[in-house]
Order: sequence, then C-alpha cells, then structure tokens
Amino acid sequence: MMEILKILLSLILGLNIIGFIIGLFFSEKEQQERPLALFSFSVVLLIGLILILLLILHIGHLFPSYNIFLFQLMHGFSIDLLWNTTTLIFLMTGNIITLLILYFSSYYMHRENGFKRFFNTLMFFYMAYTITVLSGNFTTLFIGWEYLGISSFLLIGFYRDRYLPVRNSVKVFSVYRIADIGLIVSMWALHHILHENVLFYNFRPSSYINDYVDNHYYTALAIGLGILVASAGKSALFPFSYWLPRAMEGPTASSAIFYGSLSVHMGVLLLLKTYYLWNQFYELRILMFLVGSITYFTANKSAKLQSSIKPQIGYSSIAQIGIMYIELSLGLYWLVLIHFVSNAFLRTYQLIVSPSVAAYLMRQQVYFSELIEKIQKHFIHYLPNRLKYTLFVLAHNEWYLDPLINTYLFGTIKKIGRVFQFINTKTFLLFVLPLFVLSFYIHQNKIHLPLHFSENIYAILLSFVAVILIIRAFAERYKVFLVLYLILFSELFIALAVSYNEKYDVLSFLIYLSGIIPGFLIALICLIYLKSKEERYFDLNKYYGHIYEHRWFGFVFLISILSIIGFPITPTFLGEDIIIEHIHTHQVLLAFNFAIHFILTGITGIKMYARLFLGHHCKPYHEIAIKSA
Amino acid sequence: MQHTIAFETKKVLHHLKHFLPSQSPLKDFVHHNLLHFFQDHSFSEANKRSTKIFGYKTYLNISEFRQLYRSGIIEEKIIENVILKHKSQEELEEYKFRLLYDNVEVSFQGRMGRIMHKWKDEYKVNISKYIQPKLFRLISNYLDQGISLIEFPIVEEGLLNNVRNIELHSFQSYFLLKKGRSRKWLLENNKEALQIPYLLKILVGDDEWFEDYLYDLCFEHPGWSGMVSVLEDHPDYLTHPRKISLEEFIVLELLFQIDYLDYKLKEWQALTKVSKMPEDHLFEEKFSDEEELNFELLQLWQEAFEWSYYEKVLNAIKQHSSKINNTLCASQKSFQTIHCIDDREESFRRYLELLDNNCETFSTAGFFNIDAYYQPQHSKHLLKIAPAPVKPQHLLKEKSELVEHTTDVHLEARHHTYLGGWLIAQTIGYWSAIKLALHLFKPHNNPLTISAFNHISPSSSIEYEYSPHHSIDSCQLKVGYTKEEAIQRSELLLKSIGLTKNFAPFVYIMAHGAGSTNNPYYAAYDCGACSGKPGSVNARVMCAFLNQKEIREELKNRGIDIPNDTRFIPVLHNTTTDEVLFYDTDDLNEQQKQDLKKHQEIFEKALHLNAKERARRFGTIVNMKNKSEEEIHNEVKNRQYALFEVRPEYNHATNALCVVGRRALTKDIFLDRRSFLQSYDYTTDKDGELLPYVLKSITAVCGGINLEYYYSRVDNQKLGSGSKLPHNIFGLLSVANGAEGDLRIGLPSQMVEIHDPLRLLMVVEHYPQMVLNAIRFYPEVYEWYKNAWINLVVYHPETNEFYVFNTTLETMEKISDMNNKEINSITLSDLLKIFENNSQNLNVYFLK
Repeated sequence: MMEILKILLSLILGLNIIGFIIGLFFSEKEQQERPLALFSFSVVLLIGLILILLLILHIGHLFPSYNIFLFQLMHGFSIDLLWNTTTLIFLMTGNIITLLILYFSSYYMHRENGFKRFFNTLMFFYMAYTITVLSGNFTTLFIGWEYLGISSFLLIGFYRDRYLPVRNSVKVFSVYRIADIGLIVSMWALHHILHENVLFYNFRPSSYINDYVDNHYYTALAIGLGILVASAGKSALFPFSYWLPRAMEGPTASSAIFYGSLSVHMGVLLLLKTYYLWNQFYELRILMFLVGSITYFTANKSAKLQSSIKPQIGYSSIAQIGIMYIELSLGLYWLVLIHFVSNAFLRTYQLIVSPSVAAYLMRQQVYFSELIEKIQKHFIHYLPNRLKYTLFVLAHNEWYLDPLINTYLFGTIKKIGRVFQFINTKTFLLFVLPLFVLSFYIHQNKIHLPLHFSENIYAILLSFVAVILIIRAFAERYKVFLVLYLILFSELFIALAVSYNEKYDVLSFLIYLSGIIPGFLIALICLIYLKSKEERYFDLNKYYGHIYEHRWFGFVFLISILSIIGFPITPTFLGEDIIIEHIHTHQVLLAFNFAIHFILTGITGIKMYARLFLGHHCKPYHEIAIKSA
Repeated sequence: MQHTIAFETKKVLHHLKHFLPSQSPLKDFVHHNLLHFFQDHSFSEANKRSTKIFGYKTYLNISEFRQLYRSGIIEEKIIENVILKHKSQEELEEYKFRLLYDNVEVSFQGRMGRIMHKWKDEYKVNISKYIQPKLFRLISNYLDQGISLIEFPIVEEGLLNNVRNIELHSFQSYFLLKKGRSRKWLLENNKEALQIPYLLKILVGDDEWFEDYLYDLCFEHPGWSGMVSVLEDHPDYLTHPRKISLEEFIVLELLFQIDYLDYKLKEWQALTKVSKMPEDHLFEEKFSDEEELNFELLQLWQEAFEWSYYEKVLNAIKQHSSKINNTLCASQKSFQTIHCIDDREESFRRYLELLDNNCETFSTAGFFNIDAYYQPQHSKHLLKIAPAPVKPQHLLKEKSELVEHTTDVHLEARHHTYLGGWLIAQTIGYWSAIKLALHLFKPHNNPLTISAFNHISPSSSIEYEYSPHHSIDSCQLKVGYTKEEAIQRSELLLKSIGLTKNFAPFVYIMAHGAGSTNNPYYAAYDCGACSGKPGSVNARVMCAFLNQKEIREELKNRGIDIPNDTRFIPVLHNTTTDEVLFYDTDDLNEQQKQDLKKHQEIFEKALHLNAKERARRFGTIVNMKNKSEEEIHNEVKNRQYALFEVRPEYNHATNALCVVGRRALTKDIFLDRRSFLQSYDYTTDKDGELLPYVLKSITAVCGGINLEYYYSRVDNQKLGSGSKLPHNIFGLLSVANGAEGDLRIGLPSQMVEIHDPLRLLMVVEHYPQMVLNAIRFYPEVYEWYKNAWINLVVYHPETNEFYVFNTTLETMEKISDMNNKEINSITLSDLLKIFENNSQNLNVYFLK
C-alpha cells in the first residue's frame, strides 16, 4: 500500500510541477490560447484520474493515515507527505474546482491581455495547493504555504497596470507575512521540543504526543498559538478579515478559486493537520471558539452591509470559516470537512455567477416586483437605536481592521524606521560594513571577546542590527539601492548572529547565501540598468509601472527578489530552516528578531518590486486608467 | 471662467455636471457621445481639448495609424486627398512625410488634479487615499438598489440628513475627529457652514481657485460623481427612490477633507496661502505649436482612415445604381419585413433577400413609432420603450394569465443570514458543484439568462386601446392610444419608410433584442431606440394597429392603401442567438398558416447564414470549415447561456455607416454588418417634408452609438471600462473594479476590441439642398453635422453623384476627387468560405 501510495502521490506532484513548467514555454499569441488551456486542463484532469484511483484504494482501508517519505533535502530536512482522508478530500475538492475554473477560464479569458500569465499563475497556484495539502511536515508545508502567498500576490495584481490591484496585492501579501510569524514560531519551538524532523503523522492520538504536551506545556501552547495565528491570517479570520474583499481585484475566475474557495480554506487545513496537537489545550479551544464567533458575527454583519457583490460573497465565506473554527473547537472534525467542501463549491459558484446579479435582481424587481417576496431589509429591530447605529457604522467601516493593521502596525514600524534615518549610503559604508567585516573576522578567527556573558549577547546584538537595518529599509521611500543593500546586510547579519551560536558551520552559511548573493547581484544589475534607462522615475515613493516597457527585466527582478527574501526556489530557504534550528529554546529574543526580519524582508522586497515595476505606468504616452479606477 | 465674478455655486455646479460622465445605471444603459460636453465644439477641437484637459485619449496612436497604412487599410491616395483638402499643394510632401515619419508623442496626463495635488506637495498627505474608500462605501450603500441586506437607514430626504441621523445616534463616527468642526457643522445642521463656498474658503482660500478645486475633486472619481449627477437629474432611474444631489455629495467630501486635515495636520492653512497656484485656470489651456501640429496630424490620419473605408462604400453605391429601378410589382411579392435600423439587422436582411428574391425589406428606428412606457403584469415599475430623448405620454399594460417566474437560490438573500447561511453553506454547496459543471459543459437555459424573449410572452396580450374607463393612470400617463393617435403613428411609420403601396400578403415587423448570461451590460445589447429594451411590445402594438379595419380605412384616405388580405405580424429577432419568435399568429387561416410556415423556413435558413457570418468574429468557434451552418448556429446559440461567455455577441462593434434611402441603393452590397440602414423613399417625399423627422430620429441614436464605441475603443481606460473580467457590481447601479474602485464608464474592452474607430458616415439619398434644409431644421440635429461628429454625404438620385457636407462653409460640395475603383463581385458560397478563415473587417463586395 505504502509503495503504491508513494508512486501515485509522487506522480501527482510530478505532474503538477511538470504541468506548471511546460506551461511557461507556451507563447503569448492568440493561437496558443487553446493549446495552453487544453494542456493545463489535461494535466489537472490526469491528476483527477489518479485521485479517483486513490479514492478506490482508500475506500478499501477506511480511515488510514500514512506518512510517505519522499526524499531527504539535507540532514534534518526531508520532503514528507501525509496521506489520510482529510488530504484526499482537500485534494479532490481542489481538483474539481481547479478543473472547472480552468475550463471556465479557457473561454472567459479569451483574448485577454495576459492569458498566458493567468494560466501559468493558476497552475502555479494549483501546484502550491497540492504541496500544501499533501505536506507531511512543516518544511514541506512551508514551501507550499509560501508558493500560495506569492501566487495570491500575482493574481490579485493581475491587472498590474492599475493602482488599486497592485496596492491591494501588496497589502494581502503583507498580511500573509504577518501571519507567517505564527508558522515560524511553531516551527522553531517544535524543532527544539522534539529534536527531530516533525511529522504531522505523529500528531495523532498516541502516548507520544501526550508525553510531549505534558513535558513542555507552555512551549506546546505557544506552538498551538502560532498555528492559530498562521491559520487566522491565511483564512482571513478576525482581525485579518479586511484583506479578503480587497483581494477581489483579479478576473472573476481567479477570485472564485482563491478567495471564494481554495486559498481561503488553507488556514482550516493547517488546523486539521495539527488537530491533535492543539486539541488538547482548552485554552486554545476557547480562544478558537472566540475567534470563530467574533469572525462569524463581524463578517456576517459586513456581508449584509456590502453594497457590492464580490465582497459580499467574500465576507459570507469568511463567516462560514468562522463557524468552521467553532466546529473545530468543539471537536467536530468531520463536520468541518463536510462544511469545507460545501462552502468551497458554493462560493465558487456564487462568485462565478456574480456578474449576473444586476441583471437577475433587476429583472426580479422590474418584471416581477409584485411577486417577489419583499426581502425583509431588517435593520436589527430588537436592538436599541444607539447600538443599532453603532453596529452599522462599525460594520460599514469593516470594524476598523484595515487602519488597525496598516496605520498602527506598519505605521509604527515606519516611524521607528525614520528614527534610523541616519543610516544612509554614507554611514552605511562607514559603520555597517565595517561592523559586519569585524564581526565576521572575530567569528572566523574565534577571537575571544571581552565581555564573557556568553556568546549569546553578541548573537542578539547582531540580530538587532539586522532588524534595525530591515526596518530602516522598510521605511525608506527614495533610495532604491540603499534598500537593496540594507536587505542584503540584514540577511547577512542574521546569518552572522546565528553563527555566533554553536554548530553553525560554513556549509550552512553557504547554503543560506546561495540564493541571497546571486539574487542580490542580479537585482543590482537590473536596478543599474533600470536607473540608466529611467533616471527620472526611479524611487520607492510611487508606483512607476516600468513593467510596461521592461517586461523581462521586471520578471528577472522579481525572481531575484524572491531568492533574496528566501523564497523556496533556492537553497536559501533551507538555510533559513537551519537558522531556526540553531536558535536555542531560551533565545526567545533572537527567535523574535528572526521572525521580524523574515516578515519585513519579504514585504520590503516585494514592495520594492511593486513600486518600481507595477502600478500606473509613469509615462503618459498611452491610455492610463485614473488612479481610483 | 471669469476671475472677477465671485463664486456662484449654482452656475459652477451646472457647468460641472455638464462635464461629468452622464452614463445611466446598468438597466437603463443608453449609448451616447462620451465627449457630449464638447458637442458644441468641432470633433477635432473637442478631441484636442479633452486630451489636454482631461487626459482622454481621443485618437488611435500614431503607430496604430501607420500600421493600418502599412497593411493597406489606409490608402496612400486618400492620405494625399485628405492633406490637399486642408493644405496647399506645396505642403503636400511635407505633411506626407510628417504623417509617415514624424515623431508624434501626445501626453495623456491631463490638467485635472493640479490644485488637489498641492496637498501632497505642501503637506505630504494623501487625502483621497483615506477618504475615497469611506466616501464610496457611504454613497454606494445610500444608493444601493438591492445588494445589501441591511438597508441604509433612511429617515429623511437627502444624503447629508441621513448621515447626520447616523452620526447623531451612533457611538462610532465616520469622522476621524468626533469633536472636530466638520462633524459639528453636520450635527448642528449649520446651514451657513454646509455650503460649498464656505468649506472651500477653508480648504482653498482664494475664491479664484474654487472652481478648479471642485473639478479636481469630482474628477478624482468621475464614476461616482457622474452617477450622482445623473441620479439627481433622473430620480426615476431608481426603483428604490433616493434623493441625492451633487452638491450634497461634494459637501460631504469637503467635510471629510477638513476632518482629515484637522486630524492629520493639526495646523494647516488654505492652499492659496501656502502654495503657488498654477498660471492659468483649468479651461484656459494653451497648446504649443508642436501640440497643435501633433493633433493636426492625428486628425489627418483619422480622416484618411475614414475615407479609405467611406470611398469603398460610395464607389459600391455608385456602381450599383444602375440596378436601382427593378422594383417588383405587388403580385410577385412573397413578404415584406420592417426591421430596426440597427447594424446587426443588415446581414439578416441581406440573407432574406438572397434566399427569397421576391421579398422586400425595410427598416426604421426599432420602436416603430410606439412611444410608451410598458408595464409587465406583475410589476409596479414602468419600462420606457421609446428613444432616450422622448418623454412618452402613453402606458401599455401587459395582460397575462401565466406566470413564468424562475429563480436561482444562489442569488437569493438567505445565504448571508446567521442560521440560514450556515445551513446553506453546509448543504447546498454540493448541488452548486453539479450545477456549475452542468453550466460549463452543457450551457442551457437558466434563471440567470436574460433573454429578449422574456420581455413579453406570446401568450399574454397588451392593452393598447385607449378607452375612457381607464382614464389617466396615476402617473399622468394615458393607458393605450386613441384611434387618432394610432392612425397618426401608423401613417408616419409607413410614409417615412416609403411603404405606401404594393403591400405583400405578409408584412413582418421585426423587433430585436438580445440575450446573455453573466453580463452586467445586458441592457446595451437590446434595442437602442427602445431605451435598451427589446422592441417586441412596440412591434406587437404597431401590428395590432395596422391589422385593424378602421385604421386601414382611415389610412386609405391618407394615401396608404393596405389590401384586405395583407397581414402584419410582429416578430422578435434575438440578435445573440439568431432565433426569431412570431407573435399573434393564432387567428391566421389555413392558407396563411402554410405561407407563414414557408416563410419561417426561409427565416431559419437566413438565420443560419447570419450566425455563420457572426461566428467568424468570435475566435472561439473552431474548425468552422468542417461544420455545417446549422452546427455553427447551435454553437452561437449557446453563447447566450454560457456563464463564461464575455462576448455573447459583438453588438454594434465595427459600425461606421448609416444609409438613409431606398433599399435598392444598398441591396446586394455586402456591408459586413457595419451599416445602419434607414428606409426612406425620396420619390414619395420629393419636397423633403418627412426628411427632418427621419433624420432627427436616427441622428442622435446612431451618432451616440458610434461615438461611444469610438471613444471606448481609443481610450479603453478612461473612456471605457477596461476589461470586463474584474468587474464587480455596485448597488445594481454600475460596475467598478475590485472592492474599492470608482465606477467605470463607457464600454468594456470585450465589446470594442474589434471596433475600428471611425466616425459615422451618413449617406442620404435626396437632392443636396433638401438634405441641407433637413439637417438645419432642428438645431440639435444640425450640431452633429456642423461640428463633424457625423460625416454627411448626399447621394443625388438623379445625377448619380455624391455631395459632401462642408462644415466650414456649411454647404454641400460635389465630390470630384473620388477614385473610381472596381468593386468585386462575389458569390454566396465564396463569401461563406471567406467567413471560415477571416475574422478581420472584410471588403465591400457585390453579391451575385
């Protein structure tokens, strides 16, 4: 059974990856639309057939759970897959919806500028979805998780020549990154408690998991909390709900598959995968119940208040995910699965037919106004006036969640960044660079430092430098090159900080730098080129939309930025995992700094790409939409 | 703008409203000239100024023109002709060189936002970013026609009053400062402060710049400003009435601006006190010599592009004219049809005539002189079924026993309630998956489909006869028509198209409508002359009039002799599916029924061919070569039902021509569905008495359609709504992108992508002087021609010569420089082969 499973699941993953990669090589001509659509559809259909085979095999062994080891990436990191009924259900639902959406889009997207880009991104998303659903450990999950994030960014910003889609795609990416803190914290803590490659397979009713919870109560609680945060972010739960309506910027088809059905349920999937881990904590279950209830209430109110159709469906979907959280907290595992499938299909359909709403409702009103039951436009009769109106204003302003995170969280970080304005290109060369060289030298020659608390203090100090550098980069609005240097050195300082701990060898260091250094160099070349061409439109204060004229440079720049920020396309991503492993249990501050660094490099890098290459084209020699369109 | 005169709110707002987009809500979509505000300027002047002021792109790019030249669509000879029309012989070479090689770069930056932008320059604040989402949400909920389930609490009339009511009763506020001055003014209902000049004084300072600031403000979000302005003037567009005015909307935004600045900056001063103002006002734009030249070149290209097409058509008409006088005598005629002038009917008529030599086709504006409101049986609402400028005085009521009412649970409200939502999300989702799969793989009729056939069912009847019992309806409308009114309308209809004798036994009055699913622009696909509704009610009523004995007798007195055995039958043509529905045929006798059947077969065949002609444009119907016409037709039919079809049909795309004259003028000429056709027989109207009326009823309709397509095509971002795919419907009123965008205006790219932006060429068959008199008859009609929004050519039926209207001299000039090119003849089967391989615009051919 294991062998067959392994072969079939590898096949699914392989088909996914090959399907995505081959799709990239189609040309953008209109004649290639059909072949590309047909090809993508066939790949997903083939995967669907394998899934049916798996279903048949699965029914024979009701409710089994397997861990399938695929291969070792390096010591301590492997790609493992988890196979159980939940996996099967998620895979099948995803497959059916993707098939339907691909078929739909092959006509819907006909002659659309970016047809190929859309199909590539969709296949990339499907690959990410499959990896995430199949993942059997945190490393594998994280790969899929990050891919999902970036595919979201690309599809929300699909209309990259307009301001709002681009701004919102960066917004959503930022929320995803914040929620990723939870995942990093969990990964870090798990590494240390269990001292081994942690498999989701191990999270099942067994003495193993009970012992571990008993022995490390608070750490385990922290892990659970981390998972909850990560899942709340991805599933747009309170207080992250505000991103979902703003994500409805792409073509209707992509909004349906992402924000109606699949992507938005990934948080639920994470909770299902780690069910027995957090399930033991009543604190967490109560918290989950509360988050679920608040989400249900707030999202429901917001949904009823929406005067536009897509956000209304989005909010309704979130409200249901809120209920899924309640169900999970009550231990109704199977009900959640049923609920997920139904909700996913329902929202897909609703979003797909959303353009009909005007014609449909208007027809009801105009031709059958006497027949349709007067929809009770209730205004919460039973509440006192003041509360009624207060709720109205709150729900209408989406519970002020957007300003909460944007103004207060990111605003504060920017303010801190401005404190460090003295770090500019000059001071950078004078202080930061020497500091790095010195620290590196000390480390390599194992020179004993005067203050003998322990080496940790230096690690933490260096990590603080890294955080300061990245915060400074985050707040910078003009000097493009400086931001790139700051990102690079922030990464370097983190590596250095960790290397002040034991065991961190040159090889790990090299793995860590393997993506960062080439990425940095390529990005640098792109920027030098861009600056030489577009001297006048070259800073981070506005969106410049250079992709209109420099498409390939934009693409290369995006790839290089992704490798700098440790996106799982280069080994740097493993290097980050190693770093997490090397942060000791008691080094909470170091872990915290690492997490902050991780989030901000991602956001800063993507923002740099977005500001330079996306948005309104700065040169008005062709038609340009107004900013608010 | 006069600087010395103090700011007058009313006057400025009036002026401002004139410039804002005037697009009606989705259900009342009517095509109009998107540069309507400069209609008093000439086409080229309006284009130039709109680009400079608003940043609208008003011509194709120079590179697009050059590409058209290289591919042979714009002809070199015509470029020379066009240059010579405006320039001297000496300048010819110079201008030709410029057109082909000069670097022409036009900036679409526009002058809007110059004053508003000062906030960013001086104080580093981005006001719009914070205010717009809030403002859009408020106005959109206030005006919402049925999407939200919690209605905006309405207690009084007007936006400000209702916002005040919320502010009074809520612990939370829309304002950032709960104790701030702007909130205070609103709460106190401070009549002095809640005035535009008062608020502008605080924000702008010097009243010289008030007007510019207001323009900046409104054009930061032209979609919503325009919608508010339209709804202020036409409250009847709303099925849920709301009182709204642009003034209130502006006041609210200004209050929010002051609130935001107070909150963000604490200390700030009016703009004119801290910032240097621009040197000139918004509408005092100046053009550099280079800009003047650039626009001149673009206009020359535009004319060359137009005349490259026009000339082919004119050549065809001229060479064709020898055939004109072969009219049939009455006994040979099988049937006659009266269509709408719509360009989509051109090909249908052509195939009918090809398939049945003995039939005769006519066309006129598709409301068939029935100017009324229509009230479906189960509705309280009235649908206007007359051209946009007409204010109908009559009401037609549907009478029906049957209720054909289908619903879709997925679009009903219950999903969003607390318990219902949960139950539905747990269960109905599985059904959705099956439903979606069925929809995708086998498109079928469903409650989401809007079809013209549902406008009125054949089984229901219409109350069209006025009887005193019904007196005047509550809304001041007359139910039905009196005999005299019916006779007047019938007479005018038949006389204007020149059908006064030689009636065939069957006269089909062909209304048209369309069908689509998942399409917010559904109303744009129906009949423009019926204000975006199908014309079936109009056709049925007109046929009922003409079938009445008393009316026929009276018509005979007025020179229209309809034989007793002639029968008028209303038909509805669905232009999306190419299907027809015959109404009111129950009481035909056996012989008539048999004849009808024969005709129906001809119709069917014609529709197959028509579907094939349309199919070539779509690009998603593959392998046309190996499919029969019927198979292709079936695929075309599915486009109406398919959820994924963003182009159920191409509507008026490629329109470029309107011919007013006898059908013989254009019969057997392949015009590629690019022409509006209005039947008019100068021989029955030699003094041109009816001509002003005929031209009046079509000029604005055809011109509006043509120019909306033109501008949405050349600037699909500012004057079009961009791609349809990310559109999100707001309040059932209009579409915007995503959740926080401004409403979009114009047509989406999917509707205009195959459109060649040419101005309409109006070809009128009559004596030049008669036509000149006719267009001058109504000033609002004359404006279209005088300002060159429509090009006018007169075909002199007796000398067989063309005259073009000279806009500067306001005279008709004989066209002498036309290149006489032989127009090729082609057989039907060859034409059908061309359809299989070609999706581009085709040449003008004679059909053999």
